Amino acid sequence: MTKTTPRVSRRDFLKIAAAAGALAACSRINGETTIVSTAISPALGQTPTIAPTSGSSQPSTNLQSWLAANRILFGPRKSDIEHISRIGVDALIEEQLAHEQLDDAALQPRLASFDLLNATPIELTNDKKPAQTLQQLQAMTMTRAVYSSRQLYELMCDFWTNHFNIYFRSGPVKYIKHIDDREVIRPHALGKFRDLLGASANSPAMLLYLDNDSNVKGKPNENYARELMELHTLGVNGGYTQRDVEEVARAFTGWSIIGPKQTQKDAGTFVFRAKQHDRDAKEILGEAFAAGGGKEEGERVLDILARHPSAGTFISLKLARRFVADQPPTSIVEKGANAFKQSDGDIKATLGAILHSDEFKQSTGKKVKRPFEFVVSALRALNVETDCGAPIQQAMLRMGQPLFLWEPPNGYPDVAGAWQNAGTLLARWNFGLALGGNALKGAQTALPRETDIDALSARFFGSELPQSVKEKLKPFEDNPAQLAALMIASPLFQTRG
Amino acid sequence: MLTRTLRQNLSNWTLALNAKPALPSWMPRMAFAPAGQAPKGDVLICVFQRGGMDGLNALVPFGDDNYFRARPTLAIQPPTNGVDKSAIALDNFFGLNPALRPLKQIWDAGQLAPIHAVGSPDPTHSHFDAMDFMERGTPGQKSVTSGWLGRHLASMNSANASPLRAVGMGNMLQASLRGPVAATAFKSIADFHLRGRGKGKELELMQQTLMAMYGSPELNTPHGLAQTAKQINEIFDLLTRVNVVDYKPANNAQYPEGDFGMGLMQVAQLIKAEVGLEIACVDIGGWDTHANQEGQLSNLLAEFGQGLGALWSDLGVEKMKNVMIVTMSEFGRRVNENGSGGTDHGHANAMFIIGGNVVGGKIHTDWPGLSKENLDGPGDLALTTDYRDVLSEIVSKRLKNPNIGEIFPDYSPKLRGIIRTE
Repeated sequence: MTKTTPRVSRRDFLKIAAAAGALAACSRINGETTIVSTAISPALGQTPTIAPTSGSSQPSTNLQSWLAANRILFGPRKSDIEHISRIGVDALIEEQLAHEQLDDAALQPRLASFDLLNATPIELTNDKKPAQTLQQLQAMTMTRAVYSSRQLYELMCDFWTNHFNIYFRSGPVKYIKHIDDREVIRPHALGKFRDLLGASANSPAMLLYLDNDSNVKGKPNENYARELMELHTLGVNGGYTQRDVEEVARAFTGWSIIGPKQTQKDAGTFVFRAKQHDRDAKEILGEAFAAGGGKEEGERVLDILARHPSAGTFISLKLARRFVADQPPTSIVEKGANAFKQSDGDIKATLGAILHSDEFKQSTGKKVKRPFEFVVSALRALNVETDCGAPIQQAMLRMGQPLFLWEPPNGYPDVAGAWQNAGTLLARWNFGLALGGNALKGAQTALPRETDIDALSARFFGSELPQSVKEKLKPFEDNPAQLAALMIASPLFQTRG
Repeated sequence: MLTRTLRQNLSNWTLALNAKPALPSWMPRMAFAPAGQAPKGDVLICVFQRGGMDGLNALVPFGDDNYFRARPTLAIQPPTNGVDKSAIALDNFFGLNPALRPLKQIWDAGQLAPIHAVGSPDPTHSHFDAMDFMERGTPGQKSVTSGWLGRHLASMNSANASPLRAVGMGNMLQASLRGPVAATAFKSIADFHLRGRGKGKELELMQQTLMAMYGSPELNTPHGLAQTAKQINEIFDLLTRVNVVDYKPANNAQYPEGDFGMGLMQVAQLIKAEVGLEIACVDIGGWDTHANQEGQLSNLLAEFGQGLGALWSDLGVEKMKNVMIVTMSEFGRRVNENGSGGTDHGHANAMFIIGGNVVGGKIHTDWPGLSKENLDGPGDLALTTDYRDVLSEIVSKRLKNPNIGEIFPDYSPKLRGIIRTE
């Protein structure tokens, strides 16, 4: 690889990508999947720029590929950009949405060492290993984000982990949180919302975290009922009242668990305690529940909530905030909400409507990476060989996002303001310095010796840097490790596309 | 709000390399306008108890019989019972939770003003809305994007350009500090430096390059990030004045372990180092005691009380003459206990003010009572004091900012005689 070749070939790729993207869009409409590569007039290509200039409303085409790589994936590997350039953004979206068809065999050996995550609560209690369980859960989650070919699926697992947030250190939750991850979040992350909601409502970790395990008739506990409507389905202004909270709490009386620290075989599993269920009549969001009901009352509440118009809007808003902008345009939220409604809460359809939209393709530079995306994108850009072990998780803690350790039920914030703080930005800089300098234990960065500023900036930013910035980087030209460190720490690498 | 000198230094990135021996020589030195300049008014320390503190079990109304009826298993016993789990009497009606014993010495010194049945008037029972409204200082509406402290800083005509004028201890800036004046958030003074393998010169050059990139107009850096980078750089310099390695609290003060105690201790360090601190926010979470609250609340109150007690001791009599500590939580908890040995979300709550100039020795409250007909909403303690009344009094009397109308728009506070002017 010469010093100039990558840049030139990248430019060519980008020009092809422009047309390929357009073709992909057409072929999707025609129901075809094959992309034909054609000779493209150079006039179609645009000069790579770092960000759209204030005058232009359309981002350049290379930015569209870049945007896709930064939002549909956890940031690009070098090979991803070539791939996206070849198939186009819309085809990439379809490819990633059909996650089960993506070959992920190469990932599996990397997961083999996370043995505790297959353990039962009783085994964990006996071995007293919750701290190691957390380490394994964090490392496994990050390993998947770094190495899985099912990138969008992993992004959605992260999305739902935060949407249905459960604080790992909330008492005995530590013995069963990994089961929620395995049996609630991951099976349904791109499935039907009602299935996901139902799995969560029946999840021992959730019932424990939000105290529904002790929600009993006569003296109900409102915690789960409130967050079920406020955070999981309708949104705080979704049209429910305090009275609805009290009634929903009554509907979920008796939804409990066998304590994870019990010695019996089924410790840490769901149980419906019929004797604790309030069998009196109820009225929930305007619907009458006749006296004498049982567990099915809770399921009926979930049906009502999952099909409530506010749920589609709320889920769509959160997805649009995740993938488009902190304050997404109303038009895109409506597109997502319509897709949600028409597909009876199909997550793939809802997400697809948002990602295929013009609003998605036109939004750039507005999403500040959370530490998880920041770290994973750096590891991917540098092709780091890592076990995602304790030193990296420590760095995540210093950057403010230790995985599975957000205490309140609303999940890590998804707006830039939350992540622009002196202490945590400094921690990002220090992570960049450590990773570039190969000073992070368990993470091996192998930079090609001939790496130069343009080649590295193509890798990190998808385009050349402005001349004035290149000048500033000149003193580091002979030191790719420091160059990489600076690029990871740079402002450009803090945003997603 | 940068001084001209500071701006020039940042844009030119000129370095004066006459560093003090305490820190690596590559750290930049900058002319810093208000060196050692004390703020015009008191330093304000805001403690936010996230999750909804159970004010009824923190500041116990043992004189109200309905309290014991509502909480057959959770009520704190009256002081006369003399058991170690009974309340610490403050007068013949209210007492402190026994876990709050460190506050008793402050009460005895006349520097504690407990307030009861106080809070935000908005009826929401959502944590996130309630916190949001309380920190914005605009209950019930979100059109104002800044926080009440942010507006205080903006409306206060202060010559203070310190990057540590307003500090949130923790990883994320408290919403109350949002606003046009750049407040900063960090968790640890000791960790606040650039780490790298390079030798001094190399790291110095890397830092310069980073600053140049964050300051480059050509990179379209989001405004907040550029601002934050600038703060980091200014703080590097300022923190050279703070003894980060072996700080010894005065008067044998013992801060509790954990983020809360660490946060308070670092606030004391910043106050003593005279780096221009005017406002500090410190959080303590975990108050959402829906189930099995007895031990949980007791532990939290112990941490909370020990932290405040340590801060008060550490700062000492002289410093406390110009310090105000105020505590708040998004809402209190339901008067009746639930079936889980806990309490659900409620409404009015208790606040504590500590300072050399509080009107001490009395509980500031218009007690609404706990009989059924006096409860609010689903069975909550009714609100008789708007928290903005309390904050307005602190701001106007002690922070010397008369612009209450800008801080709490569309609200006319009633001053309740909680704070002395001198």
